Amino acid sequence: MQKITIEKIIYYYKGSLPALGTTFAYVIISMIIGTLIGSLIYRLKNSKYRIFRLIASLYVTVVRCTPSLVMLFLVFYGLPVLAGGEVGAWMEELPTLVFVCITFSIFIGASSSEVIRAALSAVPKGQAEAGLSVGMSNAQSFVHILLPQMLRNAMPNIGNTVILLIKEGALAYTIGLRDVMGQAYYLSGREMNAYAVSMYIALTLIYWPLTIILERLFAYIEHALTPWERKNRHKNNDDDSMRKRVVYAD
Amino acid sequence: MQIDYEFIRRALPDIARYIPVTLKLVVVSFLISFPIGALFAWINYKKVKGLSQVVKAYMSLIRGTPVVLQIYVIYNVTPYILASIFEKMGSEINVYRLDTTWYAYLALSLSSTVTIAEALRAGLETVNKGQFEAGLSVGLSAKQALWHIVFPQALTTAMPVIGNVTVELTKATSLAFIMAVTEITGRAKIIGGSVLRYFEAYICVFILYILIIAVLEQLLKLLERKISVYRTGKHNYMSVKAI
Amino acid sequence: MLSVKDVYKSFGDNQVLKGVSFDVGEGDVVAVLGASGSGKTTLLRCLEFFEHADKGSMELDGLTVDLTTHSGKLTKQIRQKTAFVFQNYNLFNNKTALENVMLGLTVARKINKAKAKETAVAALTKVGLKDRLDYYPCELSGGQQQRVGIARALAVNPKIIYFDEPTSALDPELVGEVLDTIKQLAREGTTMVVVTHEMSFARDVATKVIYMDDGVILEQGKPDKIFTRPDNERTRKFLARYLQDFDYNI
Repeated sequence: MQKITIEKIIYYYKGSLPALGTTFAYVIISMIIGTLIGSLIYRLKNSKYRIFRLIASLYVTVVRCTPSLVMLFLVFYGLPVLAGGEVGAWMEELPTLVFVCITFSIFIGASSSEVIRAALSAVPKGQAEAGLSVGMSNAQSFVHILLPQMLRNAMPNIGNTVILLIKEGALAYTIGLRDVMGQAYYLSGREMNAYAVSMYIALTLIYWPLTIILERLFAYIEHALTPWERKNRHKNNDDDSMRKRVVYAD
Repeated sequence: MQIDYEFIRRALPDIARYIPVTLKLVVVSFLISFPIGALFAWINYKKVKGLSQVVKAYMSLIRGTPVVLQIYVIYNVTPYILASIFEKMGSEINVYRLDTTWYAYLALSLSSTVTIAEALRAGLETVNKGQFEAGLSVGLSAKQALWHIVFPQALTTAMPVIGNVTVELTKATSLAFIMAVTEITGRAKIIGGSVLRYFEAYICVFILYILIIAVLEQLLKLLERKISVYRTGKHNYMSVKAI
Repeated sequence: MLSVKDVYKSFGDNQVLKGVSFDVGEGDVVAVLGASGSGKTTLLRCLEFFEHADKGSMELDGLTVDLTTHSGKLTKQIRQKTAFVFQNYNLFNNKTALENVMLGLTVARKINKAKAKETAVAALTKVGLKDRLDYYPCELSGGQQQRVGIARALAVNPKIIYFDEPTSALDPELVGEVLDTIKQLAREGTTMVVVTHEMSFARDVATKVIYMDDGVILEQGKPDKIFTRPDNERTRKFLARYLQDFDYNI
């Protein structure tokens, strides 16, 4: 069995940690583009026209049935071929990160359309009507009333997606992305994988705490986003006044 | 470069020959992870002292690390551990000769074990306590009440998630080539690499996965309907169009 | 002030409104009575453009609008002149009591924050909730929520306020505080259309009563007339049943 040394673990840990920047880069970019695609798919799903609804559900089904690795390969090897000619040649020169972002945007486009639907349907219908009733436009009512509540409803899903993306992104080392996994793999390769086990330990020490921190962070954001769900803010006030009939001032 | 349709036409049946390998990976990994997941669910549900902390730590670790990393660890580290164990026992078994597929089963079942455990525990918690007590009241033993009343209901609640696990597991088999198992993705990599037609080879894999999972989802739907018959009812008068 | 002409509305095969016309004068308190399913709520929702009528028009404060219109500009224009109090309150879940009342002013009418706050506090004081300004809806009792709903309607200084069964969702012991608030508005000359099942309220506060049955107005007039000598047999039966219950309550 390979020798596991503290020095090597630290070496791989220190060597791979900076690559978190790349990890976060594709996570953030894919989340943004993916959510935009998801909104579009959501619109198509609710379209008046059958053909649009069909396209949307086809997209979601196909993407859901495809393993990340296969999608990654399809995008990486396929896009330049599909584009062909000069554009294809230009695409082949693009950094791997671009292909990774495209791949995950496609995935998030499918899953987020469902998240948007769930988040929106959890907001009572009367909320939008109440917004209109005080004279707001549809857009104003969406921004001020629906969106904050949707965001809160979607938060657990957003958190899960981010964590999933970070882990799935580890696959992208297969096409040469230098995220945390890719960087460690690269460093280990330079040493003929002689200290692979130390590298695995270092990677575990990066990914595991990161996941736990992110879980906490998203739970905290959810809490911070929803002052309106904290029941005990006014605990010190007279409690039973909630039930009492209030006598009017005048 | 142009898409080589002729290549796709020839490669598709060739890659499709490896569908049984993929299916076997799914089935065996599921058969490993279901009982273990159920056990973990029970341990967490009952909050068994000591054990439940261990299970929770394991679940957190698996949830917190990429599947590829888990695969590498299982594939590269377990043989050493097994070898040293066998050596101490004085056994003649040479682990390095062991079929690598076994490592794949093990590695792939890690994640599904966790998801199944989570789903079943949540399922157990939704079963009304009165159901168990009603079982006792008609003279069933605690074990019988659990087996005949509580578990089936918990399973029904967990069924959608378990269906999902199966789909995820199917997709995860695409990683088995890392462990030198030639299933459909692995085969595509080989024949795609031989003539540098990766894209076409992966299109074949893409098509095959969609087919496999589409069939799988239909089967799961049937199974789910069968299992949850007590909820939806056989004689569904609600579905008769209201006048 | 408000003149509604010939409103028709159906949901699928179910014809809910079959030609409804009525007038509301300035300072009128119109109580709309009728059994469940008689179309009262749908009528109100058509006037606020929450439902699009199949036919019909309204004239409000010199502005004549076709009730079938989908024009965002027109509906917004009308909604700026009206306010709506919902059966299940529909307070904005993500906003405090004060913000609930302010939003129609700051966002919909672009009134500056300081001025809006002043108006909002005044409205909340009027409904007896001066000490609940920074409470979120989930921290308020049903009666308090509905009074915030009324303050929200009042604050935008509407020509007319529509009440859609404002006390139906309340626990019996909380009905009084909300009715008291509405009565107070009536005394001050606020123009209101109130869909309600509270017969005593209709009898004592309304200046005009409309009785609806199966999508048409069967009878309308002064409350004394309707409650003591209704022309129509069905009105008589309906009132007899309700007034009986009412008498038992005393």
